[in-house]
Amino acid sequence: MFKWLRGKFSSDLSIDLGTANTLIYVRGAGIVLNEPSVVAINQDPVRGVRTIAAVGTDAKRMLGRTPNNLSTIRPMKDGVIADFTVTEKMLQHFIRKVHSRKSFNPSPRVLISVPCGSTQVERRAIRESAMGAGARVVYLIPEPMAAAIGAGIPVEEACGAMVLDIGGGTSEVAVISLNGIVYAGAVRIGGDRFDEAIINYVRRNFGVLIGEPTAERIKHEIGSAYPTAEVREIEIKGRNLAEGVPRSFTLNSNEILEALQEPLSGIVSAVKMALEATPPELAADVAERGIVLTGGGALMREIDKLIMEETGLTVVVAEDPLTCVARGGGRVLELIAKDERAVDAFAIE
Amino acid sequence: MPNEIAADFTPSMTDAKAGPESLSLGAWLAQVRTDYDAGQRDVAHHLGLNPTLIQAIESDDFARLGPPVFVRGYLSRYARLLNLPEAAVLERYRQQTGVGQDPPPLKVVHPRRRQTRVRDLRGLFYLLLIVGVGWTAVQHLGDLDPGKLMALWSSDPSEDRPLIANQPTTTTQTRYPFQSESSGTPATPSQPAPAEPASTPLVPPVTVKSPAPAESPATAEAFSAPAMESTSPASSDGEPAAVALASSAAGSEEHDDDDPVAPPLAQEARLTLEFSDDCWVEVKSADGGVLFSGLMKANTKRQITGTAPFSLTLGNAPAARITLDDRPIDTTVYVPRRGTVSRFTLDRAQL
Repeated sequence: MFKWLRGKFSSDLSIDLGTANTLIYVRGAGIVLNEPSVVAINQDPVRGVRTIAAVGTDAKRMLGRTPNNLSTIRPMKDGVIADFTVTEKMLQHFIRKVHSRKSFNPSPRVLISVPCGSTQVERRAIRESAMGAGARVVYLIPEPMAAAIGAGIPVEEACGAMVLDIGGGTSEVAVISLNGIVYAGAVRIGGDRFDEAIINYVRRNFGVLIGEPTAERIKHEIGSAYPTAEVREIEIKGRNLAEGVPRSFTLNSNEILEALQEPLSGIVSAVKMALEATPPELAADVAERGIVLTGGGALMREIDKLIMEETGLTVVVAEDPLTCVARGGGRVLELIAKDERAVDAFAIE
Repeated sequence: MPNEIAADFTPSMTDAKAGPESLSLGAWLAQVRTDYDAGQRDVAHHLGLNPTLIQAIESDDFARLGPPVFVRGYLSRYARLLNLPEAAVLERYRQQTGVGQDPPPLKVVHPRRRQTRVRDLRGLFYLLLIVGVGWTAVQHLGDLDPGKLMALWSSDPSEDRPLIANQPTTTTQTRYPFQSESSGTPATPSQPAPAEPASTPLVPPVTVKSPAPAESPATAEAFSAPAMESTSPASSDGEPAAVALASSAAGSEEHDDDDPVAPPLAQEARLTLEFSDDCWVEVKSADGGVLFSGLMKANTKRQITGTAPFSLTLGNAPAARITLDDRPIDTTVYVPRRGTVSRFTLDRAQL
């Protein structure tokens, strides 16, 4: 009874605690926060005390541009917590930002999406981090399930649906039917690996060192997963390794495609493995309807075409794929608020 | 390839941006496709879709395409293939079908728990139950007599509780019925009787006859009769050597005084011990000397002769059957409330 009463006054949050970005969905308000998962830490040289200097967008602006006493940290790596304390502080900051404390609101219930390949230890770290950040109850939902719900796939039907969520740290593929996950697989390949591949390619072929933000900009502007007739170009600047001075040069989309071959083939392999492991009836459903792409990686040009060519199946990109996981979690939270039995469904822990 | 199709055809900008208002979405797509001089099969091949789905799109039969997420995906890809603006095509789809941004509500199938409302009420039920029990306890608190509780706590379990409740101060575990003279407790006719007086021939709290070797039939009857019944006939018959037990009435002491054949207290007495189970025994005579000490096996018997009163220690009192000068003693009154070890004194004068 008290739970119900408290539920009426608390604003529940669905958090997509991603490697690259953290999104928060507030029940009844939609997506209210979309910021990079970056924290800037100030190290006091005298006392040796570490304090948080900036979180989110402000911290990302500092990435690669910090003096000695400042360091920018990405506390999430491969979809899981790499630095527990910093993650807790970051979550605390984000929750305070979106959760009103004016009217004696009770602590929020929080639903966090976790990679399906994460271990129990990694899940426990996420749960405790959220509890430490002020959550009353923490639910964990597998990312592909949240992504499928957020994309609008009717997961409760007795019909198989395959979803491929390409995030910042991991790519996860799952076959879903009847509110449950039939098959789930994950590879630690995502947007970060794309950036890393571009940095390595540029250093190897051009002898120029570029930073992560520059690699990310290249990926966004001319990145492509499949050859196209239209060749895009971008002019970038980096430090020439031989001369030691900054130089500018031009990259085109075909070169980036070449750079991304390795991580892309890893994702395609994961999809093929999932198709092989899918029961035949569900595989038939997937063949009839197609694969749904979600996550930031789905925004890469022609990635749907690449997967279509490799698998022979129809591939559709979900609407607003970046926010699918957070929106899916939000829909589940709204359902939990109405019907608590939903906690037992959707593979929620 | 889409760009190969688009290479030979450049649609007019007005049509390309929003499409002719007179045409439905399917008809618009079909018209642009025809302008490219491409068939449905060509488009299906490029999109990796079944040609029947292309036919369904062009005939505005979107229900055949499945959930909206897939329809939007197909339309988006079809629009890109035809070099049409995706946003305009999707907006036209929304207008035409009324499908909004929000997907249909989620449903929970195969719930594993009971109804939420019932679970919510369970806490309330427990709360009311606790309050009810507490209120009842408070209401009946005044009816409880502390004396009764103490009597119940210290009473002998072999005795009937109503009797104990009536006379809580006269009966305790360590107070033997035949020691009332020394304790000074006034005896009453309603002195607690053994639990099964009729079935066992052990009647300590009665007025019994002298321990003559040759008992009369009347004496035997007196042993087997219940306590309350045996007291009167014995007195009325005027039998000699009647001895008042601890709980007997003061009147019976008169018989003692009048009885000329009452045995002297310091005299040789014969104690017989029988055991139905193993039992450690120690018997001391009146002068404190140990007459016997040792373990008696089950179904064994031992006779001890010595000067009364005897001090007995029994390790397994429930298994013992005692006779003093051939008169059985009720051992049930010596069985402790907790455990089986019992210590007591037997005197012929108390028979």
